[in-house]
Amino acid sequence: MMRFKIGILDFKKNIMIYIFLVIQLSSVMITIMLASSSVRSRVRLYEPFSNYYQSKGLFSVMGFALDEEGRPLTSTDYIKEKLIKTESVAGCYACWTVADNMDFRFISYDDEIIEKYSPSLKKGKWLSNDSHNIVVTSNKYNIDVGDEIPLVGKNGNKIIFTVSGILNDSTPVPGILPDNSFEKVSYKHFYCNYNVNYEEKPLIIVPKNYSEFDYSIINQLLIKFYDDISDEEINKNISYLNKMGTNINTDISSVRETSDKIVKNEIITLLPAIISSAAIMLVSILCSAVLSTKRQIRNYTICYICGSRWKTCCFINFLQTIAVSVLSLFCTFIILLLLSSEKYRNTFYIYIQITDIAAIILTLFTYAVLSFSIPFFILRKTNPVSLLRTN
Amino acid sequence: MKYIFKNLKSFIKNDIIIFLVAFVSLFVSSMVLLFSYGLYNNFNNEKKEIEVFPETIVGTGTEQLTKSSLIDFLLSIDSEIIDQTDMFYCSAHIEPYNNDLGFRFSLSGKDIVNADSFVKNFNSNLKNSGRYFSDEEMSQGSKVAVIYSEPHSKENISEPFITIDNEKYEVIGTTWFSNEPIIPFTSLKDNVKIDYIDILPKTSVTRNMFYEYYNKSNGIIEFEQPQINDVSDIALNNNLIMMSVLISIISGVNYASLYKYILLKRKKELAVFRLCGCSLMRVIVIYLAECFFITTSVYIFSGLFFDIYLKKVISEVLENINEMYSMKIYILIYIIYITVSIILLFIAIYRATKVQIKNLVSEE
Repeated sequence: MMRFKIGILDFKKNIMIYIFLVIQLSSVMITIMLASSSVRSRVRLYEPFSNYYQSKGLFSVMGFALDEEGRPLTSTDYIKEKLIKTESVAGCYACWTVADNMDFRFISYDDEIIEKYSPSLKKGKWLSNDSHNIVVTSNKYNIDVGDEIPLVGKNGNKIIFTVSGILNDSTPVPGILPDNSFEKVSYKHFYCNYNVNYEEKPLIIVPKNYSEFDYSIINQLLIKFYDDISDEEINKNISYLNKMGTNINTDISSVRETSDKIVKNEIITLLPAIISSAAIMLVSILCSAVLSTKRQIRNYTICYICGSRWKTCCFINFLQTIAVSVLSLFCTFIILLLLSSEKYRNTFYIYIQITDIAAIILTLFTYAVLSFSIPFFILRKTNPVSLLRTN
Repeated sequence: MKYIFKNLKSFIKNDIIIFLVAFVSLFVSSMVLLFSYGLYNNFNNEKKEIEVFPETIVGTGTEQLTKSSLIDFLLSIDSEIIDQTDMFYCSAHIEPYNNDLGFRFSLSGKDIVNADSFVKNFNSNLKNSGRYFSDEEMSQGSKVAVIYSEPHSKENISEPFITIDNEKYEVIGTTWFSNEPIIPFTSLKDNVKIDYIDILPKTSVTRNMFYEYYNKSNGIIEFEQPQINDVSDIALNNNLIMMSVLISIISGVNYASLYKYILLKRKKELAVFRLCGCSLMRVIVIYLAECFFITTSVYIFSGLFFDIYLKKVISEVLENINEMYSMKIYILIYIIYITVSIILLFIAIYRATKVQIKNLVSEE
């Protein structure tokens, strides 16, 4: 109990120093989050489908795809079945429906696209294929999150959908062909920055699994083959796809090559900021640990002379370190919560993943270990009188 | 002055590690400050680009683009798209002028007429004297011209006729807006080569509009593909700016705590200074001058490193970075940097030195 009392007393006495430490540590942790989010933002369009780009496959662009009987292709499962040694296919669909008195363009995606990629939203939430929700772009009809829109099914019956989110203007959306030339295909060609003014019609993203609607595969298509597929089999697949109605079939290895160059260049832009943050973080953590310890050594020496053991002093120091770490973590959490709130959603790109939490814990752990070990080594190897003299 | 260097010497000699840590802190913060300036400028340019689009469709004429082929091309465009177009602007090199002459017009059915928005603007803001040519003069290809006169000059037309491409043009008005004369597009000879064309929509460029012009041009105009930027790039730039601000705060706090620690170690020296009659203000000035000296040296060092080495590396990704920095900018950033540092350090030094002399002595 006494140890806690001494710890609290010392904390109160040096409150300004601890406030500075909390500001410093919180800034370090927020900088870590911002740096990792910035890097992640550069690969946000590549990373979701990296499994396709990293293996054997094709980046295809469909015209109006037809099956062997000349009917529109309604599912990528058909392509997966018909092509040789095909592991998976991710495609986009035109959804044939209309909304009452409103002119929209409708699009749907395979489950894999819906699960792996979420476009940036102005408001609300992204959808899932098994939900009764839709996502819309900004529009002249003033449709907002929570509004209900009836969409007409193929039998004329109306199905009511709830708007779960509003897309940001010019946000990258799969399934619509960009204006860029398809001579050098990269991961960016999988998306089109959907600008309502440019496209003229607002867009509605509808879940795929509704039997009331007709869907047909359009535009971009990612195909992943098994590793043991031969070049001859790939060529057979390409000619089959051409028969189906694909306009472009690019080998994924060339897409990977172009994409890797783009990603590398984009990450280089961030290097000065990341190197500076890494340098300053190291210096800062070391600095805070050394300074706070050096300030305390005199007090610990006095405690030691008064009968307390070195272990007790180290324990008090440990308690203070924990208090600073918890307070910093709390401040960081509050600030990050604020930065990722709806109000600042489009001002900052904050995307927290488990690795970031690990990085934060590592930072705090480094700080705690340094703060704990430095006095331990100083106190054990030096006698109290010389410590009092030098401090 | 002597005490400043004495203090500095003892700082380096007795606390070399703290000195090095302070050096790294200052070095990083000044580098981040310099880098942030470039980043912020780059961000502003990108933001402007994002906000500007979509305003015009821009094209360059090939050898085949002449007045007559341009008219044929425009007449082939869908009437709905023509209705959505506010104005066509094109330019051509015409003798005897060194610079290209600009032409503004629009289409009404099959007729080339004046662009209403430009005529309105001309009459209310750009005109000095006389008048602009009428729709009739435009559609008939009348040889009339509006010539340059000094801004706000209300003098009457000095020369009644001018010669353009060996043709006599009647001067009907004056403007400060263009150094070259403004003449009806239709008055040009059919074989005059057109260099550039801008298509200005009434609201914004649409995909249909772009592809209608692009597809019907049959290669006589090289159109620039519209660039629609992903708005989330703005958020990324904000992240980087926020990071720069945080790094500067961390560096600042680091330096202030390090220097405060040094001041705590100099209590004995401070007590002697004060006992010998040195005023509090003088002590603060001595310490501030020491900080000023360190900060300035580190800034010069980091500025040189940034200008000679880092700028070259960054210029590979931030294209215009070389044009963003001049001596004036370096000095301006230095003034901001030193002012903020001095204010922060003044607070830290004042708090550490304002202690009563007897307390200083008793603490020692």
